[in-house]
Amino acid sequence: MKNLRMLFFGMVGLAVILLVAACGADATATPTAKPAAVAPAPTPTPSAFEQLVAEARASDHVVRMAMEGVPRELVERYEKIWEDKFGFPLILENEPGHTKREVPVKVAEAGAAGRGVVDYLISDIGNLPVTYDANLMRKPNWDALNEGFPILADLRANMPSWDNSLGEPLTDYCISENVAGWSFAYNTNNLTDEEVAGLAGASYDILTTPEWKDRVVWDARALGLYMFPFAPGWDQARLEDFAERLGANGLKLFPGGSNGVIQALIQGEGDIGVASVSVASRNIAQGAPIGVAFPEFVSTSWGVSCLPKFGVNNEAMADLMVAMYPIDMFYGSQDLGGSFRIFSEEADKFPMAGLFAAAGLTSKNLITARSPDEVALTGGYRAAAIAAMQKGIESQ
Amino acid sequence: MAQIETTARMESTRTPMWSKLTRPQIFFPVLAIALLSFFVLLPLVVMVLASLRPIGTSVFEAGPFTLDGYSRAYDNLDMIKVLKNTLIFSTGAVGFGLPLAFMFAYFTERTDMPLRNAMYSLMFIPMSIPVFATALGWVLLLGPRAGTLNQYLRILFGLDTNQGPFNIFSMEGLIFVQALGLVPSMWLFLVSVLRNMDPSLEEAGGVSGASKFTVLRKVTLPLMRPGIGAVLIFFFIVSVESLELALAIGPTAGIQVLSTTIFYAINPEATGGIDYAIPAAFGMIGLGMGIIGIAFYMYLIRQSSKYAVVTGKGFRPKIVRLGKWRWVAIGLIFLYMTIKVVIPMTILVLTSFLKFYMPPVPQVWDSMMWTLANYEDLLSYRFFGRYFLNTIYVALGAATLTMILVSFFSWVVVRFPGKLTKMVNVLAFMPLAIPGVISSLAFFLMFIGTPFYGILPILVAAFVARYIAFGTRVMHSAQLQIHKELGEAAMVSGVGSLRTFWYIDLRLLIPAFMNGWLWVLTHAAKDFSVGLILASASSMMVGNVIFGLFSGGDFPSSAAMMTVLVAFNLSIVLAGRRWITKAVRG
Repeated sequence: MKNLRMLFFGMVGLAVILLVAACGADATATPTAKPAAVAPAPTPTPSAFEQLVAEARASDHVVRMAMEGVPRELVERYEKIWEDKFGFPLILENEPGHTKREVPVKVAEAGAAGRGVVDYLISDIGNLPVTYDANLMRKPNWDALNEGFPILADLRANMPSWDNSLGEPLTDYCISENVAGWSFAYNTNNLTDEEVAGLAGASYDILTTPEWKDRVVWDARALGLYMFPFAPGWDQARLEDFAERLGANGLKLFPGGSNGVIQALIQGEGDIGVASVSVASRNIAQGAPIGVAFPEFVSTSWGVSCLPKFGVNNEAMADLMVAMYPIDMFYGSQDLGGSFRIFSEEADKFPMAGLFAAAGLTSKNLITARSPDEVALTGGYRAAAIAAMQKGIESQ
Repeated sequence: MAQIETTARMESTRTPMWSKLTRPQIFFPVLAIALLSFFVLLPLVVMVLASLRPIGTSVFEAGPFTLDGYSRAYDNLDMIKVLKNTLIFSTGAVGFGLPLAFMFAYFTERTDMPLRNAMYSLMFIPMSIPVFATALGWVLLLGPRAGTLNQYLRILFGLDTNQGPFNIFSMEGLIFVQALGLVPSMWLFLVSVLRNMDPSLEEAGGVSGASKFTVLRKVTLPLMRPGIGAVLIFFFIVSVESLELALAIGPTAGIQVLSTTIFYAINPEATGGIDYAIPAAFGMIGLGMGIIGIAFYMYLIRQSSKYAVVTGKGFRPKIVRLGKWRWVAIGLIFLYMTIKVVIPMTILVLTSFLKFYMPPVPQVWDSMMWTLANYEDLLSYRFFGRYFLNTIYVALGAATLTMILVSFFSWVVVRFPGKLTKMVNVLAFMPLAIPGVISSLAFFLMFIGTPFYGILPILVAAFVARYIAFGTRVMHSAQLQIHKELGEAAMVSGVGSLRTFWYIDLRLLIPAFMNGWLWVLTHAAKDFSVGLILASASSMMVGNVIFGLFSGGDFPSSAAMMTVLVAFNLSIVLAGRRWITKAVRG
């Protein structure tokens, strides 16, 4: 009986507490119940950028992108830079395949079936048409991003552009990510000071002289070479002649693009090669015996930061990556090695830009395919360069 | 009334058909054919269709069929050169590996070589090491200029050159590494041929005064000819499908073989656009090579009946006493183990403790940067667990599903003989004719552009398709040893066919099942090619990561992950062998 009474009072007590709590909640939730004079100031409408960040914050924070050959330290740095800026984490996932050459094809393959493979795409202009012309890209939320990243407009304006199949300019979809220059890279243990001094601004033809016989390594897919016909005084015939002489001078080819070339140099399979500045400087930052020198002209892959139409995870996260990757993450990871852009307003951010200028080079010395017509030629140039190198190697 | 009669007549005709189909001797073979068609036939049909589609069109899109894909594929490539390279590579590897494997098998089965009983566990060690690990090890050792072994040889012999004397980046290098990898599996096949061969003819030769070598040359080898021929053809096809080795050494050697041609066609550069007809057209060549090979194989198998080397009576082969040479015999096997396992794994393990790979030679000794970071990175890398779990999931899934399916197929073939089961037999045998890289390509073409592309079960299915033929052979032989009476007794007691299979046949077959399971598990865990062709971000396996690190020039991280993978494979194999041995004895 006593227990029953206690239970009854307990239940009544609980009901009272719940009633009071409910009335209290109702009172705060209904502004009209308060006098007009003490009504709180209306909350300012969040800006477009704040809304974008809020959407990203509410997501699972995952962004899938291609990161082949990107070391873990760099991935962790990117994630830290993000978290420091926004206060919530970024989780990067790696889609296998060469970032610029193969992943755009995967995006196009999956996109044709309405599926996504990555959330965020870094490519170069030359490899973009496979997705861009197939209308498989998405316009980032420029209004929001311009608000959060003032330099964005410059990065869009500085990029070569052309129209896609819908007649829309590329700058509606992408911004410049970097200028991935392919410079001379060498093993510092194997070159004399005189040899190093002779490399800055030198002609590529020096690599075909007896001084460099059996010392040169190159990427098996003719990295950088396929841009040479766009340099002043070069054409396909000149390219083939150079590549064949290079092959006949004891050239060794390695797979893996710039990473493969750098590894071959570190282990001593060759003394000099041509590799991406960003890959070379990343290895230098880690203590590898590698040096960089800029030759007479620098072939470049004009990197772009874009979004595929079909992603895998949250769109707001991917939108923010479009700006974060080439700006905050780019600046904030230079000590781990990085590429560069040569826009005067940010030249001080990139140590490699200083080295480039010290070699007496300007943007005129950067060569690349700058129009769809030129891009269409690069596949043929690449095939011709590979065939000529092989011919030279077999002629030994 | 007429309506009722018609319906009744229809039902009377339909019911027997249906009841016919539900009879075990029809139902189970039809089910087996349907399953095999999914794993074997359907992907091939898709590949054929893909080879006939116009540029930029996927298999399932509407549109015309054309042969243009073949001209696009072959016009842009020196196909004769690719085929020549493939033939030289595959023939060379088999030609170099087979004598070694035969010698080791002969030592194991017919001589008094020490440790011959331990060979069955010993040979599983090289078998569980990925060919990519051996390749990477020998690249580090025999790189023409920087290779560690080359540098020491130059110092030792005072050679006045900075190149060689060996060059792994060559056709000889490719053949050398591939042959080393083939020996253990070839040995396994040849040991069983030798064991099942009645030695009375050899003994007769011996009694007639022929020397041991003459008996071997004039009796044993001719008797084994069909078995050896079959091994030769099977491993020729295995070499045609070898992808990861050709990717590791081929580009620097300037050698392109069929498997790498297909790989590059599946992974085109963005400037080349999408054209599925090209890899499919290359795939048709591989399929053609496989079919010719298997036609020879079938011919040899038919010939083998003429030799009647296996008789019904029990026999125990006479052991050849090697005397002092028995130590040479075991020495040769240890030499092989050293070349295949010890030397490349030593350099890999050493590399895994370096920040940058540099050959460990005196002139760079001081600049070498030793570190544990590669392992620390692995353990703290959040995706490592996922990649490893993916690998375990795929390997376990492939091994288990393959063995369950092949047990079912073998049961159907043995228990319900007839025309339908002949078809089951042919379909189950077909994957032998299909190089693995071709079947993976077929799965790629079947699922690309669908929500199934890149998911783990598709990788499992690709492995199942690849190992069905091997598994069926294993389980078919074992199933033959179970007398029908057991099944019949169960049936008489009112137990259904499927329950009989599950509770009686499968349980009696456990040792064979486990042997096959272990073989498939090890091969799936060490294989890189299926992952390289079919995996996406969510289904990446350890092999994808190792290859990515290697391609990215990060040899030390690649070596660390490879070391962990090899350790994992070895522990599974040794534990599995131990368990099976205990189970069989028990």
